[in-house]
Amino acid sequence: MTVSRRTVLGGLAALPFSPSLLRAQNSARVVILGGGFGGASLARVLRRIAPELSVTLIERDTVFHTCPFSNGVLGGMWPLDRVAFRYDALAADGIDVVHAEASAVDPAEKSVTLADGRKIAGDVLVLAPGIQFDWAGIEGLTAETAEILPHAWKAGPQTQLLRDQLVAMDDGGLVVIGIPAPPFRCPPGPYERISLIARYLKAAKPASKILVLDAQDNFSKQPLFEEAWKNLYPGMIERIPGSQSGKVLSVDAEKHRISTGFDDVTAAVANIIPPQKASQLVIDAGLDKGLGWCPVDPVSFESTVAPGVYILGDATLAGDMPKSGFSANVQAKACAQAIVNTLAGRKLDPSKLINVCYSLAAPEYGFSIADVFAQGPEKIKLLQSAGRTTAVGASAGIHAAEAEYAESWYRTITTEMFG
Amino acid sequence: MKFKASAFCILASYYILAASVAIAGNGARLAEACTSCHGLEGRGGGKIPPLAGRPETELLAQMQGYQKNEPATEATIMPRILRAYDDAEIAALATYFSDMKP
Repeated sequence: MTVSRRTVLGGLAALPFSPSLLRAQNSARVVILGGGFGGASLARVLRRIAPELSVTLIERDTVFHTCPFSNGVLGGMWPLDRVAFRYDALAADGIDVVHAEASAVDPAEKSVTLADGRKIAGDVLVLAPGIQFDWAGIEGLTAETAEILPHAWKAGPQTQLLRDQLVAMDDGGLVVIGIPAPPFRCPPGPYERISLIARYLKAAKPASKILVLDAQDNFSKQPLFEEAWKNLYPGMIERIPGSQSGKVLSVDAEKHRISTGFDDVTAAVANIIPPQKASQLVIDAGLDKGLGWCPVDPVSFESTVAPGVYILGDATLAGDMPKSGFSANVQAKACAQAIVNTLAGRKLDPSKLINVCYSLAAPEYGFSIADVFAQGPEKIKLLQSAGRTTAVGASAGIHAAEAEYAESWYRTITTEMFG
Repeated sequence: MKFKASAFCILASYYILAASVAIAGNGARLAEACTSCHGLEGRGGGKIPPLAGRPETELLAQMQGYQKNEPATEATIMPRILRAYDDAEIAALATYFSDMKP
């Protein structure tokens, strides 16, 4: 009998994605807080590579709305339902899904306290709580007034609210979009939003205008967005950058007045995206070291503050990686390997990570940024600084293909998490 | 002498296997980042092509074309991604995905 090299290699190569080595070694409990791109991806990957582990996922909402593709709802390309996912498949996978609001995190005892007083502790604690809004950053903007001036920066009811306001607006109305200073979740997201709202207005309310009040001077994929706006929506979008006092300083929600250091405008519809920082749960636990975001080890995503506590996604300071669903998903896969190896007493070698963000300027007009990162030694480091995006002047065929790839990516990643 | 020769062969094959395992294992780790688009099973849905079970030589040739930014057909993100990987990493990825069940 001969065993081919291929057979041997194939078996060994598949190890990291096959039933784990440590079945006999333990059945540790992993508690994950947050069922978004970081937490849901991690729960499912752990079931796959280490089925002997007990996995508990704590998530407040029974329905998760993805921020990716939610700008398409605002542009009238598809209904909110398209970006809504339930956790049934995770429960069927053997993940203990607990729908409850968390009120505190204790890194030392690796526990999460729930609003109803229950406490859930694990051998390993993973925190993927996402962002909170820094309401103090804009005078007059609060969780309450955001019901009048929606941020729609956590997808769900806020997305529908903004869509309904756009639909109800008269032709000729002024839509104001306020963009905060970085870092914020999804760097190209506001500009995709501007594009798809413009697309809706051009078709349904062509006398309307979009005024962008931007705290930033430069932004992600800027030449590509500006090229698309010029070609697809000429004369419809005006943008005031931060250096020309574009930053929104205060709002009067009742009057729809939006103020910068330079001017006041009255909007028909105002989408004011507040500045952001990590969830208060991780800040209260001291995991942000006072920085507003949590530093993590570049290989394992273990907190640099609390051993045995891992942090994923938007809440982290992840070196050069942006705050995106794609990043959180890739981080979850690396973190799963770190958890399994650490439990087995092995050290994990660094690998390479990827982030790809597609943006749509119109239904059949997409472009992308694609980055590869090395894990360490000091931080997660971007490997190529030039030529990271689709080329300016790319053909209609390229833009159509990138829009199709965006759809394909969305289907694959949401199926991985929720299908 | 005979004993020594076979010991050498065993030792040599151990090192050859160990070296291959290191590369193949590396392929599995490197491939994790690919799965966000190409799927955990090496196949997703829609336009992004499946990779699982495709001939190793075909995958290798296609990835080398992207790596050198000389794709056989019009490309989008793959040349931008694969320029950040070296020849050994690309070979490991080709082996890993061709070994996956299609």
